[in-house]
Amino acid sequence: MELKYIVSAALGISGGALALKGFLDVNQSYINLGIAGMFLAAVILTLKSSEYVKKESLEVLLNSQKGLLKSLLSNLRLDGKAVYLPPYENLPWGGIFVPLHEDFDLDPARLDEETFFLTDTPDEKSMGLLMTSLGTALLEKYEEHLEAPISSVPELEASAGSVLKALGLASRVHIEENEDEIRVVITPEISCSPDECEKAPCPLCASVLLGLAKATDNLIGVESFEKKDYGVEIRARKLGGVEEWM
Amino acid sequence: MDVEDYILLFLSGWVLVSALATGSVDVFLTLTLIGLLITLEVGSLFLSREQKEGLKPLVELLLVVFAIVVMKKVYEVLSG
Repeated sequence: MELKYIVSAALGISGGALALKGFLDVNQSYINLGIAGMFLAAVILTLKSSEYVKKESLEVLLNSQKGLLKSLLSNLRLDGKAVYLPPYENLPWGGIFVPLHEDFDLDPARLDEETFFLTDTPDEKSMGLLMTSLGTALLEKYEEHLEAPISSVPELEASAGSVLKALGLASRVHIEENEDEIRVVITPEISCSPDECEKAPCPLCASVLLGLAKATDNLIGVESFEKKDYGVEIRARKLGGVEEWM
Repeated sequence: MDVEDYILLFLSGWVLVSALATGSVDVFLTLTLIGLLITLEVGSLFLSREQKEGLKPLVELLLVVFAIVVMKKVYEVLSG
């Protein structure tokens, strides 16, 4: 049995007994304390979330997942850096496209949720790998928290910061937008090394970058991931809207 | 400690001080309602939707109690 149920039951029962004793003895403090106990029992039951895993286990899972993605990308010899697509008709939650070459071309009309390897293209420049599920679950959480679709960068910064802090994944999310250049700082609460994150990001950074693509309605091209004293600094660039690439 | 632990600590402190410092159930429950509303307003950024939905019935219950307290006081004033 979970600790929160034991604490809630103990508080509720002792609160009820105290309130009854206060009522029989006509003691106002006892009645108040009894009601307080029952109230706090209900609050603990509601507020304390029970679905916790240790941070170490999350790191182990993330590292193995990232290892798989990295080996997949190196085996496919993908040279390009990831491009984050905003939601459009074919991809309702957006997606992450890793092009075959750094000098790439992209036709969003060829992409859909069923595509993984994009090889059916007129030239090699348009080939690549599409990941549609990485980071979308967290992005959904941001919108759930916001109670509306993300439509601006400040909205994304506030909701991502709150959700990641509440989940214990990151203590800070900071986004600076300077015309086409974007600087994102994420201070993760879990240990992470941003090696090859330009191609294979973790779900945490991917969710923020996907959110950026959605907030700006632009394709977002990642330039660099660097580990600094204050967190992971991501430099990205707006590459234009989906229509411009069609 | 998580943010929700701090929220719980604040609310527990508020409710316990209110229970010990007030001499009537009416005032205590009104103060509890105020504490809960402050907690929800300030802590809403750090609470999930499920947690906020879970606290709503408590707020509604305390609002009903508050309405009864107000009506009782109005009746007392009117009946002299």
